[in-house]
Amino acid sequence: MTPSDPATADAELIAAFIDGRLPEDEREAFLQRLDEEPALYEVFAETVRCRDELAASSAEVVEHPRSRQSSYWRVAIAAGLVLVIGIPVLMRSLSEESYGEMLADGRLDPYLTEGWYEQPWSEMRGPTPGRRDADTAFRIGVRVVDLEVALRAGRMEDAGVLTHRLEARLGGIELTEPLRASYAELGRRLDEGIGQEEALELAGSVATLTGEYLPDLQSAYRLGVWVESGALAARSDNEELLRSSWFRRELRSLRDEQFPRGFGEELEAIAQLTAGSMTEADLEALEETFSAILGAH
Amino acid sequence: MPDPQAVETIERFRALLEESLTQIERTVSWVATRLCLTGDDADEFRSWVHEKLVEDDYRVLRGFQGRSTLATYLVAVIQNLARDYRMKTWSRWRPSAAAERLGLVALQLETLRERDGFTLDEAAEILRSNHGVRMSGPELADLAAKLPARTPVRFEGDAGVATAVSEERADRGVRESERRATLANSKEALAGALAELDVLDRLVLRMYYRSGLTIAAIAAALNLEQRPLYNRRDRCLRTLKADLEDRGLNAAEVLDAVAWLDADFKVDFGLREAKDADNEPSNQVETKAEDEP
Repeated sequence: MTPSDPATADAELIAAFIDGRLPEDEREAFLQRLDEEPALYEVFAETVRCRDELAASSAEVVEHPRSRQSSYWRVAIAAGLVLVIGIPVLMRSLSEESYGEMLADGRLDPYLTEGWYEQPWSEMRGPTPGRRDADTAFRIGVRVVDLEVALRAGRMEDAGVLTHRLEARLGGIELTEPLRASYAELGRRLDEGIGQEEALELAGSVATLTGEYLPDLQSAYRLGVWVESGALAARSDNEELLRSSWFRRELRSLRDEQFPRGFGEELEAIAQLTAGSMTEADLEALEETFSAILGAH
Repeated sequence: MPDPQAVETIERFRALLEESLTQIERTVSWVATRLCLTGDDADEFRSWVHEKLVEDDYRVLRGFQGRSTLATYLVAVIQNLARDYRMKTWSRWRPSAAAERLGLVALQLETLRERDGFTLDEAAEILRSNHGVRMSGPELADLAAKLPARTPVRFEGDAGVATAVSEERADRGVRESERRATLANSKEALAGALAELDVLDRLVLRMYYRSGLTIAAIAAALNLEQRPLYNRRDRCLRTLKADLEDRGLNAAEVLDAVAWLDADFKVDFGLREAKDADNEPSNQVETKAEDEP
């Protein structure tokens, strides 16, 4: 830092930068100095943090009537009025209209009952040496789908809980610090009450990163995503997803990989049940098969 | 005979300071919390700051040229003073990047244990009684385990928890050795990859991952739109990953080796820091912490 009075050294420069009052050439020069001078950066970062946290504690609390928000978004989705940007996990296989229909005609209602994401198979059954990371990656895949469903259905509080759990769950896998930070950020934004559209965009972006940051656990993660998606579709009688190209492609890939969990028979059964048009009995059988896979983790 | 104009100027500055008193008090309290000061220590710090603000006929305010708002200027001044106070009082000690990143409780926990020498049990009790922290003993032990290993964790409460913590520390010791073995190569590679980013991208990553600031705070400070900043962050991560892979390295392993939390992004500035070493004892502390077993 510029050697001078310790109290005021660069203080006005830092403040002017943060207030957006520096001319462009001085701003560029200051950015360069932040890059090169750790002490200057330290004071700058703490000034930013202090200003931000004091402002947050001063701000009026704004009511976020989430129940009303949820109803609004349900109607909007059903009417196809919401344009969602981003690439959520199920977007590849489940159209927006299909989501809207499922919400409007209540097919998701039996699925989205109280504690809907608190299924016995949703939590770790305890670490098994050698399998722990893969099981965790599987759980993360399951949760990523749950998060998308929660956001699509406008269940923002559920989404907040799921995001925080994803962040915690990632703590069990090494090499994922930046990804955990991304989920932590999403969780903070949900806690602050961001809207559904922005939340879906953020979640989609983070979900894409999730796959990339689990390079050695891709199979387990993909299985979790695929199984939970299939279970959702079976439970809500949605053939569109079960017959989608994504679903079939993933099934083929998982069968080819001979996924090391002894699910060969189950995967074969799913392949047969989804081969043609599905009866009510077929969908029930599918639901049982997916639950068996989920329960085995 | 005092110059009437000078007297009037001093009075004006005094009035200006009094108008800003509420904000000054809030900022000083915020800093005291982060420095883990309570009671008499907090009062001493508060008095010291006030003394600095009024000394030499309000030199701090006399130096204000109006290039920023007074409010932001005073926050920056007090952060300068806080840094000065920390160096004056605790010499070379400074919190780790990991603690800053993990948040206030982690920062306070590390301060109590590493700077003030309390055991985990004692630190936990201080946090609960003096700072309103509600985390349980095992939760605090878990948090302590995420901080750099400067001193062994001692938890004198539940034996089961102590066993679990000590076993985990043994595992961490092995992993730490492995990380350090990869650290040298990883640092050089990461420095190269970071150098390819433009200065603003590097700053965004540093503010987000090193300092744990929110995207909202970063956007406000850099006067950027918030929503595109998420994409900017993600794009930078992908660029880093691709660059590291082009160098034949596994990006996740490199990032883990430098642990993001402790990276400091100093890998880029080693030579410059050597020149500034006389004026920046805290840098030497960072280097020492990094090299500690």
